[in-house]
Amino acid sequence: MAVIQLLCPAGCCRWDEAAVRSDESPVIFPDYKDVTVPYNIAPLNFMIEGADRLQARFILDGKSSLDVIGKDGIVDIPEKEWTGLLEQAKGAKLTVEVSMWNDEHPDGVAFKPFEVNVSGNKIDAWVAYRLIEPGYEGWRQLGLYQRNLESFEETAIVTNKDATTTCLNCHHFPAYSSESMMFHARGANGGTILYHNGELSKIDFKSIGPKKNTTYPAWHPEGRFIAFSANTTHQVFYGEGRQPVEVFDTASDLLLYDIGTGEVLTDPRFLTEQALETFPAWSPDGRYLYFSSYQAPQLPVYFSDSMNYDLLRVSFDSSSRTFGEKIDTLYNAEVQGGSASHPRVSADGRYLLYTWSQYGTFPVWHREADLQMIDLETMAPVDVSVWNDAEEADSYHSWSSDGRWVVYGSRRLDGRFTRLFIAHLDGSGVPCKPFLLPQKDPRHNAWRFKSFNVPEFIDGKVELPKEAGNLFYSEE
Amino acid sequence: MKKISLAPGRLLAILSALLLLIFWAVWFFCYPNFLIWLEGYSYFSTLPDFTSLYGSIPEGIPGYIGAFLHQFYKWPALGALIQAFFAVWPVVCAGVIVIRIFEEPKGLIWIAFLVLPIYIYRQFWDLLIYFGVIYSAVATVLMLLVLVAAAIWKPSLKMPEFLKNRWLNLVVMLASVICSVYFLTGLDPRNRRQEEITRLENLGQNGQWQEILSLVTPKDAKQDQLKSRYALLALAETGYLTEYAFRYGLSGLDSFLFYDTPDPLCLNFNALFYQCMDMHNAVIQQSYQQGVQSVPGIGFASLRRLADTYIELKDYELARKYLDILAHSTCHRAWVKERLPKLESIKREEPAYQYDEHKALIADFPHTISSMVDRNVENRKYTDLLLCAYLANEDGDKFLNILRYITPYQYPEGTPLPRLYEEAVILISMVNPEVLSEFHISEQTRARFSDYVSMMNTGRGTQALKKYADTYWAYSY
Repeated sequence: MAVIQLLCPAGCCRWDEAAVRSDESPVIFPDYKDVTVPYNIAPLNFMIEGADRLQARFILDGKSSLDVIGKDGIVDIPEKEWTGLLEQAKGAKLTVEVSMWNDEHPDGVAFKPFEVNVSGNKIDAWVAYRLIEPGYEGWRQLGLYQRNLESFEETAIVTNKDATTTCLNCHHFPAYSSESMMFHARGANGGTILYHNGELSKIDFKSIGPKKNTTYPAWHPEGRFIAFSANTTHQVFYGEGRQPVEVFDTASDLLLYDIGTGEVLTDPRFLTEQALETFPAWSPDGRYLYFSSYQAPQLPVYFSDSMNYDLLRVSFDSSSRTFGEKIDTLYNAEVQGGSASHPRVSADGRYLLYTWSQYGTFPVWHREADLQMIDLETMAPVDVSVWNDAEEADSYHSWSSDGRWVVYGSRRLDGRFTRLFIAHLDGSGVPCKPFLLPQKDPRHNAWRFKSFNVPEFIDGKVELPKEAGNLFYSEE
Repeated sequence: MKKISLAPGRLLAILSALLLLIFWAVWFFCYPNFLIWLEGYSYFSTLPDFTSLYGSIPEGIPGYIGAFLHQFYKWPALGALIQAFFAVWPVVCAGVIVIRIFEEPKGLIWIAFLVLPIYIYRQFWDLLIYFGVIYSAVATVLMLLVLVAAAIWKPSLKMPEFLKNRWLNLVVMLASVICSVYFLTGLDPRNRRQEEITRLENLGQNGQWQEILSLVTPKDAKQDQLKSRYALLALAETGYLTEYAFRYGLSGLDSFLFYDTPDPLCLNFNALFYQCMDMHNAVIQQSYQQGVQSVPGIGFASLRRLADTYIELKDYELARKYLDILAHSTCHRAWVKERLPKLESIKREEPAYQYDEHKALIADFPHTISSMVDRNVENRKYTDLLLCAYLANEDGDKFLNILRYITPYQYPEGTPLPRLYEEAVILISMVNPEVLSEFHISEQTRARFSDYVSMMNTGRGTQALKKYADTYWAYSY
């Protein structure tokens, strides 16, 4: 039985039939047509530009299940009914009929229905990310945030509101756990903030081990180790042209931090000046460390567009705290072309997802950057082009805990601001059309003037003690 | 003649109105450009991110109210009125308190005037009206508490007669007002400078380069880096850089721009400079940097520039984004509406980003401008900036290299070189005589140089430097 939601004051809205039927699909924003969504996702509110009135009918198994009358061109789906509908629609398709009224169509037009595939795979309920102005040099208000994917709740994990010169970055969690967390706080009183086993601490990596400033982290699934790259990063700006900035390293090494002993372990192979190792990532079983590496007999002293990164992996024995002798090359930049960044292995260990760009190590500023994937069983590439935008950068990604969902940043909306997209990989390894992170008001995606950074799935809401801010607070 | 007797309330109302007029006039006539600047530095929106931001930062509700009010400062008369209101309202509250608690309060109104200079002392640099809102709120709450208490207990405090003296009243009130006006206009020289710089900002934004040159004296330029940069940019825009660059404080490679500074005035200048150079990415970058200096992380001035830059670049999505954001403020509907036809016209056009293949890096000044010289070899503005920077750096080799490179395009077949270039070439010829065969040097410059050398060689160096003060010879002496 259809549940009719009247979102307007009583009597002002009623379900109506459009006078005209169109063979065209509606141009909705965000584009949810034929996407695959988890059954626990927040309502897919959408809009049609220029619509005065909208109606959306969600049909399951041929029966009308939810009717929504929108206002001001926006279909705002009631959360409770949506949750119930998706629970019933697990593994099935929802058909969505949309009708619109405006000056051009005063008697209404009913568009060709579209479908939404509702996967039986649940998605991790929370995703953590950083929000920062894309000003690339300075910042004012920035913070690490978390969003409940089952609703529209967004809360701050930690922000720099008390210390605006402080930059927060590179947050990470061990095996999706919201109970532990680490992030770097840069600034006068900065350091690496670790929240583990209910305790907060600040680590100054410049004072221990090889005394290197740590950058990109990868928390070992067993929780005891964190692999870091230690990068010397620079950026250059272009006065004109579509690409405004290039970020590059002039040095980067790999380090291993043992949380239990407080030691920083090194392997001489990953401390050389002839190679730049970066973006460490563990396999889900913790037996391999994946990373990107650029090797050259003579490293450029400054930026060069010939800096192409390979994807490598090395085995790891957590009991002896040592890396294996053999280093496998999974992506050979010289042979295959381009540069590979951000390796991340799916939770089942089957797939390696990475970002490809023409060169360099910071693909988010490269319009050509795309996600690419390797099947680690066959070492064959898997076509994930459906996840990519032809024009703009698709970059930093993270796998869900069941290995069926990927959340990643894409600049496809406007070329400048990174927004989160979620994509499904079905049981046969077939990638499905991604969808934009739903928002209560779809325009929020366009209006927000902060970029989403480093999305990471987590299994719950992070409750970081408020004292965390004191660890990096600075008067400066 | 009949003596007019005013009730205390009426007297307070008249005095408050007078005060409002005085401080409105001070703000409106002394700081109109600064008021406009305050609007550009602030940001207000009905978007949820903005509201939640002010729910979480220390500036909180007072900051939110201040941000809302600053929107109206784009009209200086209104801005001046709001500033005057924040100055006068605590006086009104204090006056009401005096009237309610004292016996014969008319002679004690002067007490209320004591609160005036306390706020005015810091009003100018209360850039968020944060202190103003709090001060007024506290005054209002106190007044309401006293009103309630007075209604219950009906106090009638007595003060000694001498404190009710008419002359004391007059003297304290006048002193308070004079003191406050002095705090605003005379105490801190930074206030005046802020107005002057923001005036240059507005003139620069409107392309009124001649006005800038008429306002900035060479002495100003040598004492103030911002004034110097505005003057040098004005010279570059009007084609007089090669005549008067050294007069307006050109002193090195870094004289044209600001580097590594969080000062929004400097960042705004940088954005304007790059705008004049048609370096859109640099405009965008500097505008972002300018924006993050504002408490919400963005300001109206930078937002407007971003919107206009993206329209110019025909980048529909980003232009629309910023226009949409601006439309969610209170006072930008007309501004946005004016641009909607332009926005519509670029909807189906390809973005007009240039030079995707050979990108120009923003680095040190010569590097940045060199890339533009490469692309615009016939454009004198770029080459003048580069050549003058090398002259200021006394780098004769680089100066000659660039001059040789551009001569076929800009000074072919004996076309006279600008005065500074001739002076540099003839000076370089002292150690490298063959350069005189490469460039045409006018007889007039040769004669002037002979005169200069002769004066220097005959013990009249001081007079020579005075006589040839604007020359490259004097600069490099």
